[in-house]
Amino acid sequence: MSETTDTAAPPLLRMSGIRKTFGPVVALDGVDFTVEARQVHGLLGGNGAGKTTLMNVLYGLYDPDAGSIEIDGRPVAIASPRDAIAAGIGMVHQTFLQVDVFTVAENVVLGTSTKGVDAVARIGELSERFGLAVDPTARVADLPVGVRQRVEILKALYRGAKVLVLDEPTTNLTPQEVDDLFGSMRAIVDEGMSVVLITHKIRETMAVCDAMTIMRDGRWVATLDAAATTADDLADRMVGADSASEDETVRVALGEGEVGEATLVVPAAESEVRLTVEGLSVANPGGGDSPPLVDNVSLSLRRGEILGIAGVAGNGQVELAEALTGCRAASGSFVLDDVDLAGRPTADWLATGVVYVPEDRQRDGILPGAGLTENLVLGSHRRRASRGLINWSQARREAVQAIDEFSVKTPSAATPCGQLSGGNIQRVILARAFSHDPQVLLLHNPTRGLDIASTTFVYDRIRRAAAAGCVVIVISEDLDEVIALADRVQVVYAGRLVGDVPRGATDPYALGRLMTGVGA
Amino acid sequence: MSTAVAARPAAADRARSVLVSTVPYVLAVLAAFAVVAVIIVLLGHDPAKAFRAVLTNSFRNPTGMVQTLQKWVPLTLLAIAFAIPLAAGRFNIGGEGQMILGATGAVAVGITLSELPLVILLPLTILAGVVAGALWAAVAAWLMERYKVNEILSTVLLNFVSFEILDYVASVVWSDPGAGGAVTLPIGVGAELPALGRPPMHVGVILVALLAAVAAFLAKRSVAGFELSAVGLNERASRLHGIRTGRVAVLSMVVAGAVGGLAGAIEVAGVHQRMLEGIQSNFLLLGIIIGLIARGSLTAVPFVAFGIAVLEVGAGSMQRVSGAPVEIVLILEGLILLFILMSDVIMTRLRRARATKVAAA
Repeated sequence: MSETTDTAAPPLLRMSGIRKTFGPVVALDGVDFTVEARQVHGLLGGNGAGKTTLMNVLYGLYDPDAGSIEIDGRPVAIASPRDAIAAGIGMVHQTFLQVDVFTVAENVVLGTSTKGVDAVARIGELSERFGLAVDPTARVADLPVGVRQRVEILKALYRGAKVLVLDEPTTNLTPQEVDDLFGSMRAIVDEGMSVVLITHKIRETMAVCDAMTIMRDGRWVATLDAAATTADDLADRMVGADSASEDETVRVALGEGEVGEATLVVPAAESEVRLTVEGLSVANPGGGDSPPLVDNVSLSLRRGEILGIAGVAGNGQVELAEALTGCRAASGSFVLDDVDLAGRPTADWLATGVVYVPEDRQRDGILPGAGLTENLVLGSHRRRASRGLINWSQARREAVQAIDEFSVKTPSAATPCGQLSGGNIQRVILARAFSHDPQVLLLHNPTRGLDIASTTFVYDRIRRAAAAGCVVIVISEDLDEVIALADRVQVVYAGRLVGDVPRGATDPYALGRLMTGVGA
Repeated sequence: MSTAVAARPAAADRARSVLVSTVPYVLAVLAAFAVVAVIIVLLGHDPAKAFRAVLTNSFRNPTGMVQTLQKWVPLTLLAIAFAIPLAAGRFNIGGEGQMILGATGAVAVGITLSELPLVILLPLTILAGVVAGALWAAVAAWLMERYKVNEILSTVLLNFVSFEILDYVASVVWSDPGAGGAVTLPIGVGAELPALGRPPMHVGVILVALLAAVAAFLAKRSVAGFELSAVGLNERASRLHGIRTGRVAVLSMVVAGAVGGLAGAIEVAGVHQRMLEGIQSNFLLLGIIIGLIARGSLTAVPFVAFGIAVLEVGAGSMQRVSGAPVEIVLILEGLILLFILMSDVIMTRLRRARATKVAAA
């Protein structure tokens, strides 16, 4: 562990004493952050650690309450992204800001002066130099996520970025695309620029970073050289507890170690089949020749089995999840314990114990304006009623218990659910899911955006449900998560399920090929 | 379980938050009166005299109170007819059409079966109004659910159709030749709502008071009330949790139409004993204002409706006493709503400002 302060030349970027509050919440508490020239610098921490906030301050999206920024040793005032770009800072957000109907070249030059510049040639040259393969004349709406990300990086490089900030760039990339991205990052650093990689995955930082800064709860924790640290050391510092890295769920949450290596408790191998799905299809509302959104999916799942479904976002995951939980009209059969639920109303599925934990928690999971009690009652309100009246006093008592059992941080059970943090909302949704006595539990991206404590909590609950005999289906765009949790991994591509890999035989690159439709 | 959170904030905290939340209402009403006072002065009248007349008319003698309560009936019903679909996120702007169809249904039974005794004819008359209103709203609800026709447009346009139906029924089908203009024949004596006291007040007032209480109770406690507000709060989440959202929305419109139809039937059976042009008055507009001031709460609607009824009944007295035109009252009602909506914006700003001040301290 060596502090990177003792260099002759001033560092490329130095942020000191950055403080930022949102109302009563201290998001950044006097954070120092230094990036040397020609460096891939990992900015590491769990969700809510303040990584993205810090970089948004750098990019002029937030106005800090205190602190200063220096570039090449000269103080700069950054009040807007325009200032940040002028100072040589480029940022690639998790959601891309692109005009869908424009070409790659049009998107790249948008907002810049194109007088006397051959934009297409310049973009071609940049993309060749940094290994960012992309056709400048293609329409971005037609491009996959991985390529659209390259467009964002090209946008920043085209504007002369010296410090390129990438916010969780590997989300939604296949392992192959991640390798390509890391290659490009090295090429960028070799040209004298620096890259800041925001991530919560230790393995990624170990693979590509020269140095890393760890943040926790809005504070700077440590800045380390890659050569002088280990994955376990990083995990300890991220979680802040000595024993944390012993817990395997934490290791999974942090994406530590090689994927495929993590081992969780394997349930009794050959139990009886509880759930049989055959020929499940969801027609495309466009009709005609457009391909179905879910295409002839068949499954056979045993008691206590956890099926992981990997895939790049937008391959029919939401439709598949809704069809498998009776929330969307579909053809085919869904037989749970000899009962075919296909064609029955959603309430019947729920009453039978088919429970859905949706990906979009705010939009699909809760009534944001209603209190926690009402949210916990949603879906079981008919069961709780006698002669049409809901027993609210009992519901309130159970809500208090559920809040305690699932460690939801809330002022009271009457607090509107929309006021809670993402992790607490997910705990409310899980508390409700388990109150239905799940027989089939389907979770879609169950830990996206959650802090480490909530993530480990979710994993723990999933494993307990499986141990109790529940059939669990985890649909996730986080390949590490799928591999670590599942007894069996399948890949969804264009609405079809391809591949069927048992635990222990998972090769991330083989799965990556399936995710892009190559190996199908 | 020493760490368990409270099911609800403590009673004292709740009482305080209720008190705090009434402050913007009081201020909004005062501000509306202040602005209207300026308008009255500009028109050359005495605002003190005008306000005294408008506010005391209902309470000075029994006649004023009976007038107020009978005005309160259609105001409450049309406000409920607006508030129920509003809870499910739908906008029923067809209250007056549903009311006119309710009146039409009531006179159809009340005239054609006029010989029947009260115990049979009165329930039939009221029921005919309720069913007619519900069917009228069902047209818009069906278009909304089946063809995604915007319910605001369909209900408003169906109002215009209902005006022509009223005109046709009152001047062609059951026209009273003795009356000048579009007025139907009187309904049978057995179809009239009995009246109590002196001056007489029709029992529709009691019926609606009961109905309003039951509606408020069901909204808070029943499965239907929960599903209604769940759909309004988040339709997607409701659907994913087994609520048939389309059915809830359609039912909310149909029930609203039934309530609007009841308003029409009571106006026929309790007030006019016949149907006449203009029977819908401006109850739709006032019902929407009441529903919005009450923020869709069925508990608050009857009380807000009473306040508006006081203003409406006092309007004529105000014009007689002070010379200020009756339209002043509508301006006042509109301003109250406007200032309440503005108070939302101001409260949000204040809360944010206080939050940052606390953080900075």
